Amino acid sequence: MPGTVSIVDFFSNLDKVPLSNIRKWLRIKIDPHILENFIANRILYPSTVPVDGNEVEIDLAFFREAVSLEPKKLYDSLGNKLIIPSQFLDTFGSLQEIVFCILEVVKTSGIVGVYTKDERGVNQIGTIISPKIIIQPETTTVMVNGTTYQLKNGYLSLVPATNRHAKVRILDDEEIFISGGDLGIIFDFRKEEVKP
Amino acid sequence: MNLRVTARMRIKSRSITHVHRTIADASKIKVKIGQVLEPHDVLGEDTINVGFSSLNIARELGVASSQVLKYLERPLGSRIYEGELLASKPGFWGMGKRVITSPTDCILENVDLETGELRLKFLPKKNPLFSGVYGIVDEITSTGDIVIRTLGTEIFGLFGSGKQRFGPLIVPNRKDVIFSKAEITKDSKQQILVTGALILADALRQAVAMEVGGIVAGGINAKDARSICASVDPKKQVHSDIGLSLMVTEGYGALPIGDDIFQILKEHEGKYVFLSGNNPRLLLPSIEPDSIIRIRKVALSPHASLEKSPNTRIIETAVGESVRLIWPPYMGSQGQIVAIDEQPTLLPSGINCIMATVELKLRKLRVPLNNLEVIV
Repeated sequence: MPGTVSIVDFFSNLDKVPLSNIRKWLRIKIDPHILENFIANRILYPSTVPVDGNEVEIDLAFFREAVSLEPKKLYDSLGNKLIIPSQFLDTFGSLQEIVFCILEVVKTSGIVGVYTKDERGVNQIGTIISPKIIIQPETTTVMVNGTTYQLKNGYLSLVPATNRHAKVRILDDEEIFISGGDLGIIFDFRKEEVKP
Repeated sequence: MNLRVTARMRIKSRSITHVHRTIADASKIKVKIGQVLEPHDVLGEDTINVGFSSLNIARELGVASSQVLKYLERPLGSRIYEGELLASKPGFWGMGKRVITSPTDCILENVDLETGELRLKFLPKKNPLFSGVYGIVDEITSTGDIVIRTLGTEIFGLFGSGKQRFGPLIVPNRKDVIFSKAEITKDSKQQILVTGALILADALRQAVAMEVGGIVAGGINAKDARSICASVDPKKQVHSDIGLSLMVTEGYGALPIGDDIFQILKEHEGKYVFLSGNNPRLLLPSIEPDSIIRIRKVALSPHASLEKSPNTRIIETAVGESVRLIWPPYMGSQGQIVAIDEQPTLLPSGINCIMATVELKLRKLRVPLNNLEVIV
């Protein structure tokens, strides 16, 4: 709803996001000057929401570039925390989509807690695990709360885990306890640095 | 249920306000504080540095850009007056001779040998500065700023560029036209032109060259706005002046001027108005002589920041409210809320939103509340 934090209020350099960078994320074909006007109107009217899938695609492309310009606004690399204003859900709809977009431009390492933040406080909604070594060629076996998953290497994978203390084991490593939540647990088995 | 929406003031009808007129040399001011003014009263003598223009000599004469200098009739740096011979190309056996005369009084400043463009610096002109309004002088500053209390209707734009300018308002018949270069002629000099849905970059350049006073447009392309105002974010735009004042009322792209504003502009067609782009405001002064009675009754602080556009605010909306759509489709259209859903709707975008039904002139539309703005 208007009056809450939109990405235009949250990020300070949105007007500096290069158009060519936004276009790299888009599958839809759109005339550059129409895209430029679309983005400019989004900045002019920050309370507006996307109506169809194409608009969301542009908004998420814009969001990725905004995050890549100012990653520290969301990612605290020292505290291993990714903190998302809960109002972003009003703008983008899917929590999973928001986190995946962030991870496409921000490389986390180790175990990172994912939180939403609103006027009532901070609430953990999941965890991102980015192991440094991936041994298996195609897939990696992980166990979450006793269930085994074969996750493809080279990708981000989301495993649901709504409980506060989820038990996770990767390959034959020691079992660890991490926090789940509305989001769940994201395993980052990509090998390369993130880039569009 | 959360029914909060953005509200924006676009028009302030017939209110007492201040208009600022400036004479750079304060010693030339002829009026006094408390003096009652009529529109034709002279405030003093002002020297106007009207800026620059350019003329593509290579294109006009049909010669190579690098050869332009040899076709000029005057050396660079010299003065030339309107109508005098500026450049010429001889023809063969009296055929095909081309001449260019100076469009205004100016100095030939420089030539770009890559493009063939000649830059002209307008000569400072001494002009009597008219009041332009019925009003009372509230303050005269040492820097030559004359603050006049007056009665008028103010129209607030979203963003713009340029200092305050004064001129006759020219309004097209339709609010959705895209204004082209060809429509700006010598006759447009010092006029405040309403250009409908979109002003294109080449039309803006032509307007500067023709010494147009100002432009009011529904939309402008983001690329052009960025080059004029440094940013597309109004909060970050810097005060600038490209030789005219520009005010945009709806947003980026081709967007017809809203019905509310266009109707008032039409009512004031041909009358003298004040357009400020940096604080995007168009003041339509009252032309009724008895407005002075109302002006006398209201006191304003000389320092009241009346040039500043009002900000948007968040209000609780309701059925019956006049609104404007601020997102496609039908962006810029205006209508009335006839119903508001009680439950949110899941949009194709995946976002849950409270929807309002808005009655436009020709149709009814269901619109997310976020995508409309209440007109106050």
